[in-house]
Amino acid sequence: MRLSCVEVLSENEINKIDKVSKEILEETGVMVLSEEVIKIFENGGAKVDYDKKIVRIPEKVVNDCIKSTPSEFKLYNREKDSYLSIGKNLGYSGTGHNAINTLEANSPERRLATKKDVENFVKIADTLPNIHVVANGYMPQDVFYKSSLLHSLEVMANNTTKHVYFSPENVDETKVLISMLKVISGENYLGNAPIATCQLSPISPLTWSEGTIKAVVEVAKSGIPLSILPEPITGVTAPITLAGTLTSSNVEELSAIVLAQIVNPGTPVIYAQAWTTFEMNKGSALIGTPECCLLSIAGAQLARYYNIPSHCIAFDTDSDMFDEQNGFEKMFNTIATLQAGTNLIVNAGLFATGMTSSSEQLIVDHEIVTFVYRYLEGINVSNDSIAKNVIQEVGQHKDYMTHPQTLKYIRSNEHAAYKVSNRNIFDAWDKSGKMSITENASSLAKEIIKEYQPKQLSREKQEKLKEIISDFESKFNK
Amino acid sequence: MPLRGLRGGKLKVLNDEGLKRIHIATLEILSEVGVRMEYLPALEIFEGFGADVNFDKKIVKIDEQLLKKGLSTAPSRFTLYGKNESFDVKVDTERVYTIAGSSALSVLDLEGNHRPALFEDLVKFTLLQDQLENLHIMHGIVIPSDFEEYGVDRIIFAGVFPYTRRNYYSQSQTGADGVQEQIKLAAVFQGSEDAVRKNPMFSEVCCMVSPLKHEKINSEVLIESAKNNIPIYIEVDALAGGTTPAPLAGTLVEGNANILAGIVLAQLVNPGTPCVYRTSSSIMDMTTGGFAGAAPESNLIHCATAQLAHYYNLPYSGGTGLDAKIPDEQAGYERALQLLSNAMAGDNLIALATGMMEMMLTASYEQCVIDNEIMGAVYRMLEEVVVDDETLSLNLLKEVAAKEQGHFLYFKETAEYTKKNNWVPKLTNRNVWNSWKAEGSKSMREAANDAARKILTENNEPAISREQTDEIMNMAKSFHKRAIEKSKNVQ
Repeated sequence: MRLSCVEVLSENEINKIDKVSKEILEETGVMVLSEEVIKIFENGGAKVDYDKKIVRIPEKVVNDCIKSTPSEFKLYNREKDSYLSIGKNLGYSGTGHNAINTLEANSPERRLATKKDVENFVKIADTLPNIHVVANGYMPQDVFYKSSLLHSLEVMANNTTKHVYFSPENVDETKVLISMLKVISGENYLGNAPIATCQLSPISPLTWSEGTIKAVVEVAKSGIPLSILPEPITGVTAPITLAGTLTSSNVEELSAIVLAQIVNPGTPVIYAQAWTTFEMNKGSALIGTPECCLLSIAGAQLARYYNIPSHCIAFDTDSDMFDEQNGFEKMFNTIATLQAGTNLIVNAGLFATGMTSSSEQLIVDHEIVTFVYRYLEGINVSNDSIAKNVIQEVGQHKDYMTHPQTLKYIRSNEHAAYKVSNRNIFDAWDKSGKMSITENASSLAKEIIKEYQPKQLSREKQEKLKEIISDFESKFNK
Repeated sequence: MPLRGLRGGKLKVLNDEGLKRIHIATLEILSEVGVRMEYLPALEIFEGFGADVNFDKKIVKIDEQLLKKGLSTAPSRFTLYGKNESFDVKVDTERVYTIAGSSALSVLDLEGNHRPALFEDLVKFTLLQDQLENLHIMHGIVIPSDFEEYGVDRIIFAGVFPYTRRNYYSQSQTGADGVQEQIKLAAVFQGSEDAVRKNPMFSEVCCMVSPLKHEKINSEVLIESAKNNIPIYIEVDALAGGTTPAPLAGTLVEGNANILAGIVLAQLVNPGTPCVYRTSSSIMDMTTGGFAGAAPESNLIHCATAQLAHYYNLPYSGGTGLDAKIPDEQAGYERALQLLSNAMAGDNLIALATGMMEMMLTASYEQCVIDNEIMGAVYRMLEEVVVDDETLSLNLLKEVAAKEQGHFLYFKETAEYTKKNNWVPKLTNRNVWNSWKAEGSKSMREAANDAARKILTENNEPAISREQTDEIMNMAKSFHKRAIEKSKNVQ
C-alpha cells in the first residue's frame, strides 16, 4: 500500500484560515504598485483605491477565480512529446535556480557562478531520471546582469529537453523570455503545449511591485503556467506564528490567482510556497527548520482545499557545506513536502539557504528524492510478492539468490536503484580510497559533463535566441 | 527467391505535430484510463514492475517511464525464419514484405463455386501461394469446416506449415497450450523444441479487443510466446465508429494504447521478444454496420498507423482484405489502392495481401494470383527514379537526336536497362484488340484461373518430407482431440 498523505491542519483549521484570508483580502487588501494593473483588478470586480494603491477583493470574486483555475494541467517537455500531469500524480521534482555562487567538492572557496556552470548543471539534470523539471541552478555572473536569466534560458533550452522553469524580476525581462519560448517551442500561443513555467513572487507583506504584477498579467496572457510563490519570513515579513504566516501568504497567493483569472480565465496557476523562519539571535533567514516543514505540509493542504496544483521549495538546508546538517535537513523536508502530496518540489542542487549551488549537490539530492519516492510507494503485497509458492519451494536452510523470482524482482522497482551512496562494507570502502558520497557525486558529475551529449536545439533556433538576447542588451548599450 | 523487401515510408498522412499529439493522448490514456487485462498473471507482471494495477477492476495503468522501459528492449529488426535461408525475412522498420490471407470461412473455388472451406482447400491454397514471388510470409488462409472449430489451430498448423517454405504466421486459438503444442509440431521438422525456440519458423498473433481490452486467451498466448522467444504480432482490430471513436485520430489513439500495452507486457516477460505492431482496423460501414477494410478511410488508418509504429521504432504490419465478392473491377481497384498506399507508407508486413474477399470471409484462388500481380507493380512503384550519368543518357540522346528518324530501340543500353529495371507482368494484358481476341479474349479473372490451375498441377508436394508431413498431421489430430476434451471437461 502506498503511504498515506500526511496532514497538519484539520478541516476546521483550514476553514478558519480560508475565512480569515478572504476577510483580509476584502477589508485590508493588497498593495499593487501599478495603476494599469489596479485598473484590471477594478474591471474584474475589486474595490480599488488609486491614491493608496490598494486593491480590495470581495469574497465572491475570489471564489469565482478559484473556481476558474484548472485543478490539473500538462507541463510539456521541449519536444512536446512527453508531459507531466500536474495536479494529478503525486510529487514531481525540479532543480533549484538563481544561486549566485558555486562550491565544488574539495574546493576551499566558493566562487561566482558562470554561464558554463549553468550548462554543466542543466546537462546533469537532463540525465537524472527523478529530476522532472529543470531550472538554471545559477544566475550566471559572467554576463550582463540584466540579461542573466535570458542567458540562463538559452543554456537550459540547449541542454535539456525537460520542462523548464524560471523566475524573472520584472515585466520587460518576462516579455523577452516569452518571445524566446516562442522560438524554442515553435508556437505562437504557448498555452497549446506549455514547455515552461514562470514563477513570480510578491513582496511580503501584501505588496506587489510594478514589474512583478505586470509580469503576472503578461504570463497569464501567454498561456504558460504561472507559479505564484510568496516568500514570507516569520516574524519579519509575516507574523511570527505559523498560522499567521500561513494566512498572510495565502492572502498574497489568492490576490495573484484572482488577477490571472481576470486577465485570462482558465490560466493554469500553481499554488507555490517558499517558507522561511527567522533566527532572531543571528539575524538570519532559514529554510531548513522543522517549522518550515510544518508550513509546507499546511500549504499543500490549502492548495488541495482550493483544488489547485501545489509547488513548494524542498531539498532545503541552511548548512554552508556538505555535512550531516546538509543531509538531515534535506531529507527531512523532502519527505515532508512529498508526503504532504505537493505536486512539484524544487531546488535540488541548492544549499547554504539557496545562495550556493553545485553539481555534486544536485546528484546527491537526486539520490535523496529517489529514496523518498521508493519509501512513499510502500510495500506491495500481492499473491506474487507475498511469494507463498517461492517460500514453499525453497523451503528450509537454502537461499533465494538464484531463484527466478529474485532475478525478476531485481529488474523491477522493489528495491530502489542508487547512484552515489556508499554501500561498501568497511574493508572494501577503505581499500577503494575512502570515498564520501560527495566525492562519488563529484566523479559522476565530471563523467556526465565529459560524456553526455544532450539533444540540442536546431542551429536556426539557437541563432534566433542569441539574436533576441543581443537585441535586449543593445538597449542598454551593452 | 526474390524476397524484394523494397523500402517504403515516403507517404505520410500525419504531420509531426499530429504524431506527437497522438503520442501525448496515448500517454494520457495509458496512464490515466489504463487497459483492462482479464488474465491475472498479466496483472501481476505489471504490478511487479511498479505499474498502478487495480485487481478488482482488472485495470493496468502504464506510465511513461514503464512504457519507455518496455519499448527500450523491443527490437527494431529481427528475422522471421523460413525453412531455408533464402526464405528468411529480415524485418525492420523500412522494408516492405507481404503476408498471406487469413482465416476465411468460405472459398471461391476454381470452378466458380462459393462454398464452405475444407482442409483440402487449406493445403491447396498454401501450395498455390507458396509459388507467388511477391509473398513472403505464409498464413492459414481458411478455417476448414470439416474439423470441429475448437482447437482447430493445430489442424491448420498441419495444413500450412509442411506445405510452405516460408515463415508461418500462426495463431493459437485456445491459449498457452496452443503455443506449446505448435512448438512441438514445428519441432518435428526443426529437430527439437529448443531448435524451434532458437530459430522459430512460425510466429503467433494476439488480437486485442477494442476499446482497450486484453482478453484472457490473448494474454496467455502473448506471455507463452514471449517466454519461448516466438515472435508476436500484437494486433488491434478496431471498428471506427463501433468499438473506437469514428474520427480516425481517436481510433489511432485507442489502437496505439492497446497495442503498446501488449508490447510492454511481452517485453517485461522476456526483454527482446520480437514484436510486430499490427493493425487490421477499419471503419464501420454505416449502411451495413459491418467492417469495411478496403474503404479509403481504412487505408488512411493503416498508413497513419505505420507512422505511429515507426515513431516507436517498431516494425509495423497493416493491411486488410477486400470488400468485393469476386475478382472484378471493385476487387482490382480496392487491392491496388490498398497495397500501393500501405507499401508507400512503409507497411513492413502487409497482411491479408492475397486472396481475401468479402470482408475477410471468403478466400479466392484466382484473387491470390491477381494480388501477386498487383503487388509486383506496387513493388516497382517503390523504386526510386535513379538519376545519374548513366540514366540521364545524354550521350545517347544527343546521338539519336542528331539523326533524322532516330529511335532507341536497337541500342543495347535500352535492352539492358529494360531487362534489369522494368516490371514484367504475368497476367496483365497489353495486347491490341485483335491479338487479345485471337488469344481467346481472356479477362484478368480467366487468366488468373489458368495460372492458378497450372501452378497447382505443377506443385503438389509438401515443402518437407512426406513422413514429417504425416507425423505433424497425426500429432495435430491428437492435440485437437485433447483440446476438445479439455474444453468439455471445463464446461
